[in-house]
Amino acid sequence: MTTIDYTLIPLTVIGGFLGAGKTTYLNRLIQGGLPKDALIIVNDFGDINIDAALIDYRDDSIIQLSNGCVCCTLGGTLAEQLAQALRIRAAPGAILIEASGVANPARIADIARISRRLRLAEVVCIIDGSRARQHAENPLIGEAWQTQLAAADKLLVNRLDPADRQESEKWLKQFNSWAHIEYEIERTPDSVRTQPSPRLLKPKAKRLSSHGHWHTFSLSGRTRIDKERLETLIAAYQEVLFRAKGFLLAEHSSSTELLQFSGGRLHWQSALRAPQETRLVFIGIAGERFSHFEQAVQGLLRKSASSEIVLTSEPAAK
Amino acid sequence: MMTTIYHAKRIITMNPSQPEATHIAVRDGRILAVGTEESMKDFVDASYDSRFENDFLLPGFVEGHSHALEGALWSYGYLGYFGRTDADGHYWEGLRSIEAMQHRLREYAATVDKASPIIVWGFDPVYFPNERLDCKVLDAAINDRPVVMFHANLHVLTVNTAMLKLAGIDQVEGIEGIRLGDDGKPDGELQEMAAMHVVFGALGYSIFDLVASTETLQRYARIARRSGVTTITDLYNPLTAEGVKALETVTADSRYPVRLVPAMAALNWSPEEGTARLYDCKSRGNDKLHFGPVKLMTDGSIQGYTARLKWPYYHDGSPNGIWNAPPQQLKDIVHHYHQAGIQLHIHCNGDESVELMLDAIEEAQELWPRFDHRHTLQHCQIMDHAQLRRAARLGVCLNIFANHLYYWGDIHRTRTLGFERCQRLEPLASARRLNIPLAIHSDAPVTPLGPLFTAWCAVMRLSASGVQLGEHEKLTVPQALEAITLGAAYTLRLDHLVGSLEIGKFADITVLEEDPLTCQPDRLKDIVVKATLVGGEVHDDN
Repeated sequence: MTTIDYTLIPLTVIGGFLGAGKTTYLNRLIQGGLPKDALIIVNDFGDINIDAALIDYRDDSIIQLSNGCVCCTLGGTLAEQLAQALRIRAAPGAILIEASGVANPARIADIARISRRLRLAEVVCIIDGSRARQHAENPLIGEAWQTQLAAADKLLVNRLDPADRQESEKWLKQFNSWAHIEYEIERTPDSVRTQPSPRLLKPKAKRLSSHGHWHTFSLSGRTRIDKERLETLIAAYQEVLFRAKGFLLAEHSSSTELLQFSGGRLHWQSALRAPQETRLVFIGIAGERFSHFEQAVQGLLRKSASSEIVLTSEPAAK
Repeated sequence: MMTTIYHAKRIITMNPSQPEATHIAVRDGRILAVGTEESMKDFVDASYDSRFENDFLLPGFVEGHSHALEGALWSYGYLGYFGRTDADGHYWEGLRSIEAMQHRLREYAATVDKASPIIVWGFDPVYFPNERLDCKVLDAAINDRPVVMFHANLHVLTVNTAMLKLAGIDQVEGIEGIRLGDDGKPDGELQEMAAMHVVFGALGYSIFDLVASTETLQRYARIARRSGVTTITDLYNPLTAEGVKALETVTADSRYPVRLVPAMAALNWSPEEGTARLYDCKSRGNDKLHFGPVKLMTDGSIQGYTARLKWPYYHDGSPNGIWNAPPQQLKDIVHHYHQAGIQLHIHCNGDESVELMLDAIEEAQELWPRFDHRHTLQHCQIMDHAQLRRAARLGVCLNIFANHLYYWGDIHRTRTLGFERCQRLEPLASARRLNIPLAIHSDAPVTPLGPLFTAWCAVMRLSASGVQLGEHEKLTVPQALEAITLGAAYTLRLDHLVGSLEIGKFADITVLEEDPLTCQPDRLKDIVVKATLVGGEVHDDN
């Protein structure tokens, strides 16, 4: 193509594995200002953080992609939804698609390559530098991860110690030799804390239920947590805490531990068949005091998370 | 209060305390009594109805895994290799040659408004391995208006030259999913998102839009009724506001001939939204509309090479399949709905996805032990024996895709799975040996709806070419009949309402012209369904 028709709608595909920071990246783009009436298609509404700063952003400019069935296209697919969106709306100024963690972004980019109304702006792949090798070798998702890298025009690497860049670049090139590689500027631990990545330490604080005078929240993630500090917190707030239960991936411990708190007594045992991650549920009396407890527990996660970044960025391959 | 007593040659009840009877009394849509002629004398005011006196009554069949899309597809022309009956009882002959397919295409096109594109479905190139199906084959039938032909898997389509031009892709190259012919130009075979996008864009609508309409649900019910089904799932319903309204509208009609069980499509909502959606819907059900379960898709299909298999993967060396969502996210969804007290129906075709889901359920049980969760693995076509034992331990139910033995058995034997895995393809008898609650299904529209055919598959285990696959996994006829009635009802948590003929349950009955227990097992698929009763209302062709 020798001339670019600027009336075509630019399409950007944002790929990357679950927890790599796609949503954070998207949020940053939104905050940085997008073309007028940009249309954003995301996989999971639950993951996008539409906070106060984004309130001006029109709600109907975000489409939640309903995943169809991969074998028989039951239910909506990206292709249908995009076709429908372009039929019923005024042309958006840009389209951004957050690909699912197992999608092949190249297939989505193809849409722009053949559509009469779209042009491909960019395929970005977000990479969690601290977990890249783990993802590449994972028997369940390794292939999908490598496919995503290969499809990208730009690789955006985050959570990586600057000292490891050279090594990392060499390693990444084997999956995609032509893409432009960029690094997210490392933030101070403080700013990391204000922008937690969506899945790694997602302090979900899911409000599972808030009915009556009970309140429940849960935490999950693969971050290791300081067990003693959690014990201290539970002891300090036990008058509002009724029950706590779940698995904990403790710092300096190789196995997952099962935590049980009831009747004011805390009990630990090692869990043999458990997910390799933290999953804790807390039930207590709704109120200010319990909210403090919730915040304190989340703070614990963040503290641990920043220490994890330090830990994992230690010279693994040196 | 009206009491009607029907008598029959034999009533097969699925009630272990009284497996057989000759008389059944119905009052207020429910079963008042089942028993002998003598036992009916207690009901002095009852009227006797002898219309089924030469027939055989069974509990109404329960289809535990099919899709309302079946009702939508019959808006279009059918071009399948296997014959199939539509909602109005018209039998569309199976098409065994390209010429027959072209002939049908022309015939069908003549019935469609001149201004509309021609849309057809059901064609399966797998049965024409020596033919190259491309736009030229379609052009030879129709070249003056666009034709879109969906393959049987609904994933690939072939279009004619007029449609390639309309979509603006008659000249492109280098796009995955747009196949090129010898001349280097698109030859009409299309798949993947990009191609689908331009086709749907050019048509101005998607055939999948129709799924939520009342007309589709009416047609779906008529197809179900003809095959003897009285309770049916729509096992991947997004439960949109519009969709729920349509479900409420059709089931409010006392003459609607089936009970519907929509399972909410988990991936359409975040887990928190999904849970809220489901609780919101629960109070909107009625006797013929049962909300409750969630459906989760994990991998693709074996014949499409998209199912996730364990080592050594595909028999012919094809690469392993794909996940429908990241594995960790799939597990999180299981944990969430399990904890929320909701039942999950989980599509897993390959044994690797079965493994992932058994892991997820085991973890969920460790964290939040639940009795009687009845999470049901759907399809689970090549579960190995360790997985079957684990499923039994975890209290998991199985709804096995028995129809695959016939429709793709030959393909699995030669290409996708090989000999040994085909000995345990659809491990039906093993599930029974382990006392795992068992249902069998059609997954319509993937294969035709018809519980008697599905039961025949489970009993005979014959492929389309007549090869028997896995003789040790055959079900007996009574076991197969249980799987299409009480077994399926159990997996839908409706076994207290339907699935057997017992006092107090809904008077949902299927009337057969032959006795399935005494006929040759090979005749199961040929038995004529004479009528159904749903809540005591008779539905037949008259």
